[in-house]
Amino acid sequence: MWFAKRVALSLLLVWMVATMAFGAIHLVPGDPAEIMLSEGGFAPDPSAVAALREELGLDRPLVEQYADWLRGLARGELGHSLLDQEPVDELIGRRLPRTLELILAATVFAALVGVPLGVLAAVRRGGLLDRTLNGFAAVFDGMPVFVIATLMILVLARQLEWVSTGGYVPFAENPSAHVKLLMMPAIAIGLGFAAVVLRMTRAAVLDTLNRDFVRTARSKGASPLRILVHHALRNALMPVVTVVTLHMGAMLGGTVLTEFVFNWPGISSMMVDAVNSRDYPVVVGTLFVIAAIFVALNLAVDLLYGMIDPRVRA
Amino acid sequence: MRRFPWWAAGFVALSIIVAILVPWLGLHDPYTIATGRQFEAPSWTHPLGRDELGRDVLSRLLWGSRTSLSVALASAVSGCVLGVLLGMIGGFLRGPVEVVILRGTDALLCFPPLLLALLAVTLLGVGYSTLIPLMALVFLPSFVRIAYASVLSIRSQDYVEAMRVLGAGRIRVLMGTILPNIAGPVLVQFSLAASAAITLESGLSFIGLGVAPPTPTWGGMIGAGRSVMQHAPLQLLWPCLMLTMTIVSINMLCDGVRDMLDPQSLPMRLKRRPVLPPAPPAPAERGFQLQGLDVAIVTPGGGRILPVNDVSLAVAPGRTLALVGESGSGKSMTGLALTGLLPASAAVSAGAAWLDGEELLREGEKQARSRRGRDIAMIFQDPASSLNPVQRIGTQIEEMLRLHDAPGAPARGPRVIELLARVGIPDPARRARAWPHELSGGMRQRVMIAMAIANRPKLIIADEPTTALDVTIQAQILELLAELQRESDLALIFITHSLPVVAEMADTVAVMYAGQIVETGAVADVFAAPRHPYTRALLASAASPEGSPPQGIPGQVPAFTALPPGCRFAPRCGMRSASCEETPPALVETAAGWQSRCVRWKELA
Repeated sequence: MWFAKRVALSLLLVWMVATMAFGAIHLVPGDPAEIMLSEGGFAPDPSAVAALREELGLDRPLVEQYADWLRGLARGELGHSLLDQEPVDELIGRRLPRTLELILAATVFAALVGVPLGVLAAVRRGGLLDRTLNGFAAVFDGMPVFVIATLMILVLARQLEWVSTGGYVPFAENPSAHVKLLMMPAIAIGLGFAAVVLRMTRAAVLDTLNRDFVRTARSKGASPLRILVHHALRNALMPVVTVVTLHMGAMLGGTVLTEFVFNWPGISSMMVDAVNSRDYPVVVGTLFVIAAIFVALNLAVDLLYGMIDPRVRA
Repeated sequence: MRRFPWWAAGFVALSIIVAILVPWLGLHDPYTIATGRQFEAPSWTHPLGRDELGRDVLSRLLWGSRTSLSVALASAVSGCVLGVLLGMIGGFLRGPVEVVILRGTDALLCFPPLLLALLAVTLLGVGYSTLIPLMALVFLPSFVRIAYASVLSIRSQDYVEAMRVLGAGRIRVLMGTILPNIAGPVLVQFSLAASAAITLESGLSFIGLGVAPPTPTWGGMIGAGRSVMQHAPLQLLWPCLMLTMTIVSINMLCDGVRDMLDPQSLPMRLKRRPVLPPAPPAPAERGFQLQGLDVAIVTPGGGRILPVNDVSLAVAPGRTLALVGESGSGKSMTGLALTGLLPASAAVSAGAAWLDGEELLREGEKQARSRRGRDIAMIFQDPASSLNPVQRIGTQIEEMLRLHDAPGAPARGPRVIELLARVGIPDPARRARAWPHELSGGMRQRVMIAMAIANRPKLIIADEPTTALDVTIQAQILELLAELQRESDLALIFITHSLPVVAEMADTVAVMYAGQIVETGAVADVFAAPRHPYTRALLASAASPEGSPPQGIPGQVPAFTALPPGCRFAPRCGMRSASCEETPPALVETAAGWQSRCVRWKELA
């Protein structure tokens, strides 16, 4: 029952997201076709506007357009790109895996860096190491990702010439070059993420170390290291895992600038290109897919929690 | 509490002042292009040099702060006002309006802000008029939630109802009660939104979709500097630095404000452990003795208090001592001090303790650790939280054996099952694989007891082991403890506030009040004719339901920071005389093994 309710709620959310994506074009004041075609303040050719209106179906009644949009979504169709007539779903299918790969690599980096340092900061709470790590976390958390990315290119690629400035090579073509090119954008995103993971882990470990069962373990004569490894960590990491999963979803939209800086041809850089060429169906379709993935990820976390902890279901 | 980040506050204030005053600072025009003077090196007139179009970098940097901060402010303010309004409307009107507002903001949260911005730019073009409403929309949901939650919690409260009855209109209720209540969280959310707005705006300007050039923006400067970074890295570094500094200081300020609104007083750590003087010679008897224990705590204000003061106890093997007192009397702290489990803010500052002639309080950490669980075991009050929720109970008992087993000890698996059987858990082999949450409270406490007796300790300290349990289960647990003690000759210190339990379990009793022992002696003697007014008052109120504070004693236990100069019980004592309030009384021997801290004990005897 709880399960069905949760799924239904998510479906409702997806429908609302779809409606919002649809509504965006119609709620905006002015004629979208005209805005899409205007460049540099010059009024576009009226016949071109009319042609675009017809192509996008903007000349038909609103209800009909809305029904068409929903029907298309149900079949997995998101329309065609205005540039080369390619179906939007195929475009997304090609670009999305690259972005997901980037996010996954960034998450692995963030977890590998953030969790151990967070534990270290918690163990040395109040000490010099803790304060230093907290300071770094504050800076990397605050620094916009495009600043990190640009500075990385400036230092690592331009000044030291250790790595190239960016690009993409398919894995099948050249695995080592692929991984090399993946590292820079993944670390650029991962640094800020690692700062979040570090703070979360530190707080969670500190919280766990104050719990009664840790006192029990101490009363047994367990060493601080044993208490940390056998008692505190597993309890502390559960909330951290949740935050990481949710954050991965949020990152779907956060890779735009990184992909742009490193020329990574993922879904976000496709969207930037689409925005620049005013390719409306691609923009709306991509936005919808990303939002839907976000909803699905939230649902997955909820369901997982419900399975682990029976109290959630109540 | 953490220190308030004044430097961050200062930097934010300075940025705001500069952003406001920038037109009157006498800077060069940030738009004037000087062809032929591109990338000019820093000079007196142009302290940061010129950019790729020959414009003054310093001027553009400072004008950029005006752009960033004004966009941030405008969008955060509109998001805040609109969000709070919508949240309050949703909370007050309920019904369909509520559903639309809440679900609508939920759906809004599914769109990543940057992608939403891209959509808006596609439809509306580049510029302030797109940027500000869009970001206001992005920040809306968090404000809606704060306001909504607050309205829900407040509308049910009595005083709001009372105001309604008194005829206050809805609007006045809203303004008068809700707004002051949410001011704190809204302020925190507001600064978060402002820093997020700066990040978002600069990111969009960076890729040319935010504030349109040639308006000076940090993001735009970084974007332009990117193509010439080989040539002029400083072009890139200055705006990066400004941007990062601004965002980090707003975030820090935000943390500082949050700490101020919700002070989570971090426990102070003792800077230096007190060094104890050498212990007096060990007593000849076996069993456990404690002499003159002081425990010191550092208060958040920096002061020192003694929640345990000059406490002396003794328990012979096979005997039970009950430590009785109200909460805050120092009885639990005494128990923790004996096992070296005091929190970081507390430490033993005087005294000595012996177990079979070995001194405990001066041991090194390693030695103390090997003694914990082997010679001294503890049983805690709440078995639900005292067991690790993600370990099977068998594993947790096994750990106790593993930590103290000598090499070549017999296999632990069967011994765990034996222990579970010993404490009366049915089907022990299967139960060893159970998780703590699968057991009842009584069963969990049996598991804790099994753990405590696992290594046949000489002393068990049980801190209110039955308080969290049902009355019928309490009796069973007490019986189990008494039975185990009879057969293994261990000394038991039983910390409790329940006098009937003392009468049933203990041979001797020590009554604690405000950190001191006020009376101690054989249970039969003390309970029959107490020789301290506090004990007498406790016993008089024992007939009342368990757990309630002693009745018939006016006043409260004094705070450790404001102890009376004389007898600590004097302000509440019906027998006090002038001398009671002047000098602290000593614990005097009234008969063999029967002591009282009352100068007028003879009148009671």
